[in-house]
Amino acid sequence: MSAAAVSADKLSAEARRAISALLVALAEFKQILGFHYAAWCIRGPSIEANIALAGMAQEEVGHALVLGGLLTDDFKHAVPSKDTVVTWLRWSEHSGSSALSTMIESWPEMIVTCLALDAAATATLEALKSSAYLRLAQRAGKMVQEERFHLTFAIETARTFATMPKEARVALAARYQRELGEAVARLASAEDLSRLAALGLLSQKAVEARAQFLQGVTRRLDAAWG
Amino acid sequence: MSRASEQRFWVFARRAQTDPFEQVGVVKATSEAIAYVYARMNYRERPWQDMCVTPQASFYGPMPESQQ
Repeated sequence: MSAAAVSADKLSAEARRAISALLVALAEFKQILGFHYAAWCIRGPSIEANIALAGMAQEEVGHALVLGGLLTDDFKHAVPSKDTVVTWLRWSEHSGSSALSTMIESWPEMIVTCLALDAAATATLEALKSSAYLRLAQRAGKMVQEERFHLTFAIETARTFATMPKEARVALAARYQRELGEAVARLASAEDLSRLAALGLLSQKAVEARAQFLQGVTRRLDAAWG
Repeated sequence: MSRASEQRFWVFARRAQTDPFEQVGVVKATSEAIAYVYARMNYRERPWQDMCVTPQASFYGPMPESQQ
């Protein structure tokens, strides 16, 4: 831990507000990722990929549950219900362009979009691993460990897109960058994290760790599909 | 993804550091890295201490034709 560990009830009102907003955003991301993976777990290219997607869906929903538990236990904050985030019925009716609320019908697009969402969420959890709010720091560490496999799944699957026509790959790369930018901004901007640092909840080093984590994922992706 | 570019990997795991590795299954994958992810996700019915994958082709020896 980079700062003295504190429990949620010792946090200032401002810190409690900032952390609970971040927890809500993370829980929503986890629910949405769970939906995307579950939607594809019978449509992947192989039985191995399908089982992996089912496992990843389960883990994402499990993470949402853990984050929701922190919200109710430590902040007496209502947990974002999965039905307020998205439902199977509403999802298929959506026609918006945001990947957060629409079903993705193309395998390569689903992979790069979920990689962007997963990378943004995991990079934020990477920063939270050293949070002074101990209960969150401990859970973030466990989630980051599990997410390593999700990121490798997406990056290694993207490796198979290297043989796609160049225009298609350029379009996928553009989609990844767009989704990543939107996801990072929606979860917690650099300013939001700096505010958490100013409130003593994170070190400035942790804020930098998120940026480095994201750069690392993008580098791995670039190396994978050339 | 072309299934033709996939190869078979044997999955080995052990429950404790002092246990020998045992073969727990097979996955088809395009690279070692994704084979490992598939192995972790596909064979997680037990809390394995260690798990590893290796290309089936890396084994030398007479094998039943069904496994070649």
